[in-house]
Amino acid sequence: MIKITDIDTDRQTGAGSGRCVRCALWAMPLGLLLGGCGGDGIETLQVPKEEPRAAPAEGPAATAGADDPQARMGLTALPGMAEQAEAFPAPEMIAPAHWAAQAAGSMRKGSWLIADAYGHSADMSVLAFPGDVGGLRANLDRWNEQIGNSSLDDAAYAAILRDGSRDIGGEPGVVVFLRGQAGQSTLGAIVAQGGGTWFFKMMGDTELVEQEQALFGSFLDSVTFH
Amino acid sequence: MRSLFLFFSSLWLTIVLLALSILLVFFGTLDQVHWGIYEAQKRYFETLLAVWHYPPQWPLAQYLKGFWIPLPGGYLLGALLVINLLCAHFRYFRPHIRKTGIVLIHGGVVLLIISGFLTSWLQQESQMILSEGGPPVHYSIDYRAYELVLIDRSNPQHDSVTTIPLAMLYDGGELELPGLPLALRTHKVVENAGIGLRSNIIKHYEDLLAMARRPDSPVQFSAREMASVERILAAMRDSNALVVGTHGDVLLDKRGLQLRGFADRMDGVVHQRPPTFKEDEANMPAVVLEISGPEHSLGTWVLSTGLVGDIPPQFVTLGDQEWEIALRFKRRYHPFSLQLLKFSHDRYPGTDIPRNFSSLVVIDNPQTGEHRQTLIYMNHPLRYEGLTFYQASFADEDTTSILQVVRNPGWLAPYIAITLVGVGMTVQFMIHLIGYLGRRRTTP
Repeated sequence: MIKITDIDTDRQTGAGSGRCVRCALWAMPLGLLLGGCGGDGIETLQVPKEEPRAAPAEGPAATAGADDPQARMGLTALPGMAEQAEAFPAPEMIAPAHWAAQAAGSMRKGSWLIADAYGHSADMSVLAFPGDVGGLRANLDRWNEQIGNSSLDDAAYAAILRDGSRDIGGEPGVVVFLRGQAGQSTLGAIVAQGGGTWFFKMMGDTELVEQEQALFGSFLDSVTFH
Repeated sequence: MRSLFLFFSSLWLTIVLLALSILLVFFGTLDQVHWGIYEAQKRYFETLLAVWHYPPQWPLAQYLKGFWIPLPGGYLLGALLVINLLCAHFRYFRPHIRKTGIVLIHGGVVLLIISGFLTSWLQQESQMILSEGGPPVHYSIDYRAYELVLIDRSNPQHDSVTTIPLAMLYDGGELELPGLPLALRTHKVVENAGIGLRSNIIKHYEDLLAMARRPDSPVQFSAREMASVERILAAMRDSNALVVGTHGDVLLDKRGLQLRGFADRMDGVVHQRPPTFKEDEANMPAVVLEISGPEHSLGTWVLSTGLVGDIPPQFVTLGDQEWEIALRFKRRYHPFSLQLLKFSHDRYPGTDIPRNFSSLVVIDNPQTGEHRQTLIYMNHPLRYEGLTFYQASFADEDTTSILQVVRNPGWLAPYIAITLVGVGMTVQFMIHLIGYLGRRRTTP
């Protein structure tokens, strides 16, 4: 057995021992001080412009999307939503030739980028959500909000129902052109089908969206649900 | 004072501290299975006091579930070891050239322990996600931290982002925002939640119950689990329930709240979930937040890191001012950007075994005028502006590169410490060896 003894106990000077203990005592509040550092508070930063999330990106269960932590982390924060959206098969659609097809996803059934020679661009998407997603008026208000407009009043909503009703893929739907205040507009159609709600939406520079109205109508004529 | 010094310089104390360190590592390793490495590190090593509880999955848990063992945490043990080493050094050490190696070894050990403290306090980790052909990225994302943001996009040159750490919202009181005519009041925060449309969540659980009740179902629920799902369903069917607890209790009712945005327009609802501690998962917190202007409340919003994808952004408006509001993973902005030109995933010929991952990126720094390419690959990180960028992972069929971004001001300290210990051991060994050889030569 090894016996450990405290050697040289009679050779310590008070100055040396006191210096060491003082060093130790200084270390502790320093440690506490450092431990309290690094806390985050409220900050205001000026950062380079980012694209606002006006055009819906990929759904949470999709694998695309560089800033989608859920797909990367293997999470599904919207229970059932993405899986139910996958149950809506993409309809047959014939897009104009100059619409550049983009990657689709579980809820985004079709995606195109439209551009013209004058630098105008627009995003065209076909989305499906299970259920009524809050209803027609709430979604039209959402579209208005995205382009800086205020909510529809009763007269405007009634006018849309009166003038915008049309058949989409054999189901009664609504088509609407919403002119925004800041150079962006939305041309869209909403139709209920198969237990869900389909959104056909073109959003972008007003000049381009206006020009595409006729082709948008032809596109809607080509929609065939399964 | 003298007795205190004798106590702190005692070799018995050294043995006791080392034995406690072994116990701490042992119990921390046991609990890491349940809590995950990150949480176990916080509970056992980045604390003054740790407590180990008898795991419920162990045998005899029904009798021992209240049994717990307190232990000094890593911070306390580390501090005491440093004090013990310094005191013992001053007590026993007599300056002599033959003790040079011991001084170096002691210095290296002290520096090693201190570097552990520094890393624990100062290190920040985040991830930068770059896509081939994508835009330059000037921030990295910390998936262990969360922030509420209000973004003013009115300036054509830049966005003004006000960030509030989620931790500040837990207090529940009124929070004034400096520089903004807004104040916040939290009605509810949940650490981890699912969030979605009420109708979808109801259908999800109805389908789950229907499947579980089928005799041939692969999903088998216990009676308690079935009862829990039924309670959740009942709570979700209450149109006034806004935040539903893990087991179906209504944590927050929407009556009296002027709901705006997602919760109002899409009948959104929050379902609390148990927090996750798995390394490859992140908690998705949700907050029910009331925002007020100078004169009155502007409304209440439900925000969550789970509101991504096709859920549109939410806004708060005051007069002619508008802010996008969101709860997101914390972003660490940098004064430079990286842009991914090419991600390469090399495999050994004829196999799927990865040989190398590399990212060819462009560094663009307006402050220094730098604009250059550099290659980041395995074991060759990019060290730039006090940050280290490691090639960590990839996604999207080899078109997205994920870099681990580490800020650790004390990163050199462990290398210096190990070098000191190594040099000290070599010096001390050589001193003894030379002395021994000298004595052998003089011995007849």
